[in-house]
Order: sequence, then structure tokens, then C-alpha cells
Amino acid sequence: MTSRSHELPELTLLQNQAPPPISPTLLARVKALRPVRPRVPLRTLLAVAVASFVFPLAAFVAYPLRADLDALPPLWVLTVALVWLTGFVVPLTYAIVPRSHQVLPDSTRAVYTALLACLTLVLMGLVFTVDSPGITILPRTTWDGFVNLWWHCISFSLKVSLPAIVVASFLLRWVAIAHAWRLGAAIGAAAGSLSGLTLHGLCPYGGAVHVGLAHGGGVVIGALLGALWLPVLVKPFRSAA
Amino acid sequence: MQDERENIGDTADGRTNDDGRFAADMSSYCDGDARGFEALYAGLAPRILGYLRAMVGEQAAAEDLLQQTFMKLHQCRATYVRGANPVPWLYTIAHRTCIDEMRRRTRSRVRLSHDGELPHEPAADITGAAEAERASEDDTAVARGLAALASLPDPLRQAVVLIKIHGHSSAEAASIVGTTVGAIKVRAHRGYVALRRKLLAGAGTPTEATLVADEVTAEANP
Repeated sequence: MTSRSHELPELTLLQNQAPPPISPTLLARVKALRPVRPRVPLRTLLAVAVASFVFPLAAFVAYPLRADLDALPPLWVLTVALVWLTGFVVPLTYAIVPRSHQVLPDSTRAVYTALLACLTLVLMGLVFTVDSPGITILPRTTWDGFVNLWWHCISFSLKVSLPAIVVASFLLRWVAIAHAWRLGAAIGAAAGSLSGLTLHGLCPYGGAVHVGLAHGGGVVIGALLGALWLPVLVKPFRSAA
Repeated sequence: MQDERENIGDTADGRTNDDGRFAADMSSYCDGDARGFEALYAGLAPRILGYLRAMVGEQAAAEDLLQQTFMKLHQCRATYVRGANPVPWLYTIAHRTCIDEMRRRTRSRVRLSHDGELPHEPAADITGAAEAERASEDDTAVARGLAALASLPDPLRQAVVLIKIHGHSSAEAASIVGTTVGAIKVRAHRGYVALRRKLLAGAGTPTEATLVADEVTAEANP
């Protein structure tokens, strides 16, 4: 407390109040107390990461790597892959793991990271995409051609995001007591980034617009999906509490 | 004044030790020891009740919310991370419970407590003066403080109560309310300035009080 508040004794008097006795309902519950296992945030993080990896791993098994991979600059391939991976790890960690000695994750920090991931990854696709002329398949420049491919890659992103959001909503059902949409946005953005990383290795189509708006757009769509659905999925638990 | 300063200094200095003790109590509570819960209730319920009273204004409603807060703590105790400080977490639960209650109030005119009884309303005598006016000097000061707080917009009130009254750091208060550190600092400052003007003005004229409230509302919602 700052010394300035001593100018106002009314505020000092409001600090503490004599509490009433514990209510009979609560007392009865406490008397029937059973041990519980406290949450281990890293375990939650691992579980959500595993759920996120299910579809990308299946895709890597089912589909061949992009044909132009050998023709692209290795440094660019590696750098871009690292940026996508960072877009997965950082928002997911901030959405699940609290700051030191805290119980709840910092939802403000999580949502800002999600926003940063969306902007960075869309812009990276639009500005820093490298193609290999003659090998990389460039989408047709018509609206139909763009939309079809856009939906193809966005639907891939949805398949990565959905399991992550569902698993996270179950594991964070008692944690997301406030601003669940922020945590959802960060988890969705993380899953979208993972889908972007997968598409970076699998999608045979290039072109800055396609990579920026379809692969990077997957991060935005994932964040929106998480922001909309996580609060809905955890609501029954919040009401029950 | 000097004594007050020393007392509050002690509170601020002792917070770290208290927080460690509360973390140990919370751990034993999770391990199934009811004494851990009792220690938490004894140590934290006065603070939480003070916060809720400052937020909702009514003692009975605040006490009801306090029970709900601890019921939620009991329900979601497995969420606790061993070794973490449970105090900001409990404040967050209280804050969300309070917000839910305020929303419920706006939807419903008649409000019942969990026991099915009507909540306490301040009684008025035949002249219409509130019961609080006849209470002791401290009660009068509390009533004045609550009235001044009630005149602040919600975001400013939350910030003032958490930072200026309950002594939370800006980072903790921001985490409890769910905003940025910068925003909570600005809200606490604006709220405190408005509150100070209002309280130091003593029985300030209604016109002045209205002006302050309007100014603060305009600053909070540009």
C-alpha cells in the first residue's frame, strides 16, 4: 500500500472485515475432504501438445514432402520452420503455464502472444516467401483458384486446431475461470502455427499470397476458433463451480 | 498517523511470509487436511470479505459472495499448483464471483441468498435516514468510503480497491482483473485521485460529486 492512502482513513478501514463463520454447506464439504492431486502445468502443456501433433504426424505419414524442398535455400527453410515452431511453442506455453509462483496462466500475456503470432506469421508468408521457379506450383491467379486452395489449407489447419482446443478445454476446465477466450485464442493460434509448420513441409503450392493468407491465415482462424469455443466448452464447469 | 503507517508497513513487509504460509496451508488442504482449509479461511477471509464489501457495498451480499468464493476454491482446489501463492488466485475467484453476481443483479430485481433468505437491506428510520448514520464513527467512515467507492466506475473501483486498499502489486492486480499492468496503474491513479477529492471534500456538494464522477467516467470510457 502506498503512503498516500493514509490520507484517507476511510480506505484503511476497508482493508479487512471480520468474516462470518464458515457456512454449514461448505463446512460439510470440508469435513468430507479427500486428497486431490494438484495441477502440474507442464503435464497439461504436454497433453495439449500431443493432441496438437496427432493430425500433423498423420499427415507427414500419409502425404509426401513438397517436391521443391530440395531446391529451396536450406537456411530459409530452416529459419521459417523455426519461426512456425516458435509460433506454436510460445503461445501454447503462455496459455497453459503460469508465471513463477502463480496458479493461473497470465491471460493477457497469452492473448498478446497470440496476436503477435497471427501478425508475424501472416506477414512472414506475404513478405518472405521464397519459391523455386519451375518446381514450386504457383496457384492460378483467379479468384476460384485462390479460394479452393485457401480452403484446402485452412481446413487442414482446422483439423489440427480442433483436437488441441477440445483437449485444452477439458484440462483447463477449472483454470479458465476468467478470460477463457484469451487462453482459447492463444491455444488456437498455437495449433494454427503447428499446422503452418506442417504445411511448410508438405504443401506443394507456393506464392506469397497463398502462403500468407492460407498458411498464415490458419493461425488467425485457429485463434478465432479457440477464442470462440474454449469459453463455450468450459462454461458448464464454471457454472458448476 | 504514524502508527497506521507502521501497521501497514508491517502488512506489506509480512506479505511474503504470509504468502509462503498460505502456500503451505493450500498444499495441506490439497492433501486432504481440513486444518489447511481452516487456516486459509482464517487468514484470507477477512481480506477477501474486505475486497467484496468494497466492490458490492452491502455486508450481507459480500458475506454471501465470500462463502461462494470459498466454495469455488474447494471445488477447484485440484487446479492449485504446488508451491504457488494462492492469494492472487483466490482474489481472482472472488473477483469473478463478484462480476457474475453484479451481472445477475442487473438481470434480476429480487435476489435471494443461497439459504433462500432475502438479503439484508439497510433499514431506514421514520425520517428516512439510513441506519448507518447512527452507527459509530468507524462505521460512518466505512460508509463514507463505500459511498465514495460506489461512485467510481467499475474498472477504477477494482483498481483502487486492489492496489490502494489491499496493497497488491500492479502486476498482481492486473492479473486478477485481467488487464495490462499499464492500464491498471492508470486506473488506480485516476480512481484514487477522484476518491481523494471526494473524501477530502468531506460532505462535498452533490454538484461537485457528480462532476468528479462524470469526469472519471469520461476518462474511463473515452
